Amino acid sequence: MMTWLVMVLILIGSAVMQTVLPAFAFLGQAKFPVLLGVVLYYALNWNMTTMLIAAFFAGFLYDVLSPVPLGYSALCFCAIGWIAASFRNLILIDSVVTPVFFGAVAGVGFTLGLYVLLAKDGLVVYPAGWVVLKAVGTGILGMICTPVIFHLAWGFDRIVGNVDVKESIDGVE
Amino acid sequence: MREKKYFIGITILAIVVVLNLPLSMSMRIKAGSRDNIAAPFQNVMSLLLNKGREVILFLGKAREAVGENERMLEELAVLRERIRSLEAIERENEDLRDLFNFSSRSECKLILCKVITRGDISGWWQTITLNKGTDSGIARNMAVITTEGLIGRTMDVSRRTCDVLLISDPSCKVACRISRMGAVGIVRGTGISVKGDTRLEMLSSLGRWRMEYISMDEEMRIHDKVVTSGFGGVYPEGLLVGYVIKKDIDQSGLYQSAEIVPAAEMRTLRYVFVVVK
Repeated sequence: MMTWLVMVLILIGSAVMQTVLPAFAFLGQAKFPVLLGVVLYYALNWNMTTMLIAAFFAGFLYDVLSPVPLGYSALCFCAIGWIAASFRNLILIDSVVTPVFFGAVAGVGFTLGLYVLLAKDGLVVYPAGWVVLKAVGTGILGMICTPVIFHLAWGFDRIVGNVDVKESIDGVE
Repeated sequence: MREKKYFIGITILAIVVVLNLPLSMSMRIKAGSRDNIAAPFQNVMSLLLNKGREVILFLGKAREAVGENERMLEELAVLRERIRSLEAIERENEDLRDLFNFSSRSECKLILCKVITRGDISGWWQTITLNKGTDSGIARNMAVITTEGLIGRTMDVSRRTCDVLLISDPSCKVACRISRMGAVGIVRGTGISVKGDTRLEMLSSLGRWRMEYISMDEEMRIHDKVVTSGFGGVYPEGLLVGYVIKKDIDQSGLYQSAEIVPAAEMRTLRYVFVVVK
């Protein structure tokens, strides 16, 4: 129960945060991919079901708060979450490099993926260079914000007791 | 040793003499000694004490003055803030009066709305969100204007809010004509300028708009007024859009194009009107 409650709070907080944070004109109007960071957090720290639910609702919020047709972002978030989760056993989750790397790659992937879906329907009209700039910009911003989101979300889950804290003395857990 | 005894004897003798002096002489000696020996020291000491007291009093007052100064500075800051607040209210009052006058002059039914957010969560579109929706009679594809000119059209409308797609967005196209000679064309935004003045504020980095598909037969002039043509059914006819600042030939060589500077000040959108047809 607490897991879902925490997820709802994190998702709503992230959506609000992403809305109010300014876009960077020189990065192709890229915004901090806060919701994407949350999806990555659930993809790399939780099981597949939890991740998919988080990705679905993150996409729902994203679509509700923008002119993106319902379901487009959810599809992108689920796909990215799925791909990220498939690497879960190959990475060091405690390393700060992990969220930095995944934040960057997922930021680029999400922007391009969503652009393809939107351009297919003629909903956005931007030159390719601008889209690449936006994708790279989202990647850079993802590198910055994903580790912060991981830290905050992990802290929140730990406070409410959703995750066990492993204590070690002299390297022995 | 002898000298010591001698001095002791002298001292005892002097004490005995002094103790046995007549009263009048004793008083005279006391007065003379007080005036000539003690008084100068007493005066100096008194002077020093008075100065010390003055210094202490001065320091005390200075501390009070510092406190008083701080209090007055705080009061000044509060008063300045109040003046700023009153000035803001006065400006808003003037704006609203202008809006009211504009609304009452207009031939269309206008719904006054407040801009509550700028930009969407994705950053793909240039939008603003207004504080009114279907409950106030707003529907999709209604023109949105300010007292200065057209700024866009409504997109997604909910009961209490609606999103407005600004003309500056490349996907927003408006059928327009040049007011002086009636030449028609399509005005569209050019998106965000990456080299804008302010790199964080979406609406501060808007590029200029372009008017395309203008017949080669028409002779445009700089500063020509561009208004909506009414074609397409979304925008009522005659809404001011902007002014021509540059003209050139389309890449195909078949049409003329023009660079348009918006009539409406897009950076400071606070109140706008939705035009109800």
